[in-house]
Amino acid sequence: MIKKSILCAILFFLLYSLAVTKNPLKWWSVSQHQWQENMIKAQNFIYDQDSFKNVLIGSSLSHRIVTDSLPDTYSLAFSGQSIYDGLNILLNRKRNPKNVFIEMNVVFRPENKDYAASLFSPILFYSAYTFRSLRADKQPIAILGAIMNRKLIGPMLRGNAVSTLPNHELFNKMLKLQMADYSKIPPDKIIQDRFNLLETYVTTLTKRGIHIVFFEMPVDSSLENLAQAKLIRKLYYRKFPEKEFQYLPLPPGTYQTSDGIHLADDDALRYTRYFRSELKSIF
Amino acid sequence: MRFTSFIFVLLLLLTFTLYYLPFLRKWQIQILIISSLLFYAYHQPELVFLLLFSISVNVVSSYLIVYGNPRFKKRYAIAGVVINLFILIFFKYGPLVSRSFFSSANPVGEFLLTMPLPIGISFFTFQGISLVIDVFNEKYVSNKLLVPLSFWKHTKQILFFKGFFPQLISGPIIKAHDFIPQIGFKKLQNIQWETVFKKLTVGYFLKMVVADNLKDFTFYISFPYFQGYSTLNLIVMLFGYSFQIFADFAGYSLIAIGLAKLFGYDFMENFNFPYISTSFKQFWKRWHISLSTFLMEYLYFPLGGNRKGKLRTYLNLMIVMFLGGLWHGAAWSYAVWGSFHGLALALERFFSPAKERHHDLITKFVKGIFVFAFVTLAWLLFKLPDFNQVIEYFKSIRHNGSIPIDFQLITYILMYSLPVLIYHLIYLIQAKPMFTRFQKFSYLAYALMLFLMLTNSGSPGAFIYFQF
Repeated sequence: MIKKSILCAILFFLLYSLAVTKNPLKWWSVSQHQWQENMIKAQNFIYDQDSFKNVLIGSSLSHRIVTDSLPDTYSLAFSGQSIYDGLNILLNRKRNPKNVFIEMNVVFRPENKDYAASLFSPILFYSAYTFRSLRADKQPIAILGAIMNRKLIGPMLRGNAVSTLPNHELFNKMLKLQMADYSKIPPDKIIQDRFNLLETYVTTLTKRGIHIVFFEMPVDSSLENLAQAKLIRKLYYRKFPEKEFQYLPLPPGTYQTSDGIHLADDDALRYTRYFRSELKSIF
Repeated sequence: MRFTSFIFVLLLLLTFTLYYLPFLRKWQIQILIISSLLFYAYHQPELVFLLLFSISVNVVSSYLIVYGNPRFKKRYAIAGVVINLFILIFFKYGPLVSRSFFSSANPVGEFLLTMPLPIGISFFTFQGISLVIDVFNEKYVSNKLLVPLSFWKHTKQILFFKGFFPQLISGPIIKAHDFIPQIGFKKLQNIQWETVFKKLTVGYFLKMVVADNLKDFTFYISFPYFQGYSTLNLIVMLFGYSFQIFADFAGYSLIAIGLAKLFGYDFMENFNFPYISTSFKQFWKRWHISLSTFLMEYLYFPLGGNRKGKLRTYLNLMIVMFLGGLWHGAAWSYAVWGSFHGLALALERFFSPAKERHHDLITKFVKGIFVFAFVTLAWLLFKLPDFNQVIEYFKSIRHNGSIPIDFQLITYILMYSLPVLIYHLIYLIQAKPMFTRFQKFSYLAYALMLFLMLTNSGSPGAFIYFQF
């Protein structure tokens, strides 16, 4: 029974691998949730041979930037994760970009070790490299779910798109939580550890001849000058002086967000346009 | 260390190889003890000392009960139980005591808040209590079997009993009288490979494919994110969480049972298809069986059980479930969760006829749905330990009818919940002749589970019951 089960599992796997490899259709690449989306983004960057001039490192805040609209740019901005996850992935790739844009806002969130292990532990790394069917975007249940959504549930969704602009009550609650968070100063040890780690990454990238640009994502105007935001700016300028490193200025005007920190769709596009124009002016 | 981690697989392979090497046979228990301490120390090395301290309390108290001055037997037993409970209360409930009774500026309150929560403390403390009480009562097996005369041998046995890694951090809660008599030399040829394979495959499948994927969808049952979801989404997420918590914990228990069998030890089954229960009493005979039997043997019966009149029985049920709820976590919402179940059990007992009636299929089905719905709603207290947030969740269910429905979320939750549903359905039809015919093809089901573990595992996540 054990032998039969294992042999059948291998057979299923080989057949599925064949189907995945032979099927170039785009809808055979599916993400179900945030973690998977982050994995797909990272695996595509690690395994694909494309080279990019610019790489964007960030959290869910800069994940809102519409990277497709930016020339020759790959985004390693991960929702729910930190800049250190993106920097770690970047260092594990042989082909270096010319410029790296690092988001300043979420600097105290630590690296996700589970995420790094899922990508780089020797067995998982080489098996996903060898078999496309083991990559995050090829999960059979995810693909089956996507087919069901397209064929059965999709038609029901027509005209029922979920807006990123929530109701005011929810927005105010979220903003209140963000204000509390932005008013807190983390313990000294965390501040030091994170900035030392960032410095190590930046030094390594600079030694590889990569040009570093820091940028701050716009957030709700009520958060911009709270204690944590001001401290982060001050520490960045102290650790990475403006004379040696380039900073992208915050765009003028106010931006609308869905929860205080994540840009709403229209303003994410507006910021992307600003980012693109700055990119042109810099390079 | 997680059962799903690469490092654990390495530790397991190494332990297994050394354990069955013929020239290391007489060191089998020592090998498992070292391996278990490494397993426990992986994330919190400093807390190994607490585990060893807890073990030493049980070693000394149980030894003194058997071989000490018989006049002080009761005192030794009380001291053993009290110290065990003190360790549990200090480390687990310190923060709750701090939040409930001290101001944030109070240094005692501040100190209690900084206490680390040792993984699995509730499990290994209960096992220690079971040892002390079993030895004191000598109800199940002779004390000569539980406590050998040699203090060194006794220490080794208790170290192994409490520290054996498959059950160390999330159970099943093994009772001394069930486990200690099993300790002895084990042979490779006695392993029941098919049972081990089945337990491990189903366990890992439930954890890695079902629970780890569902967790990324039920994540939104957190404040205030859930307020942005429609009524239907909120209800489906809640049912999804109900399936997730089952897959997570039943999966863990099956892995633990399978791993123990690899080393020649039998653990009791911890889950017996709980979601088919048609009464609350039945649910608690099927869910986390090792805890409910522990509470019954060591709390409900000593309180008088159902022997002291109806009113006292209801009160006993409430007390047991209140404490059982609080055992799960250091927040009042867990106590409320336990009390809800206690109330349900008491009311069910109150309204039940003295003689069990035979119900038709429809009545059974309706009762089953009712029990499942109640249990599912109560899980919300697990997910949202702040009671106000639970109220907000129900308010959102009531008011969010006009918010657009996220159908994709529903589709995936249903798809990942389906294996749990099928798992329970199989139990219901297993006696039918049709099922026997299909049973010879069961290897296909195991092959499919292996295939999905390989291609469709979710993000690695800690087992929900680790926190308890």
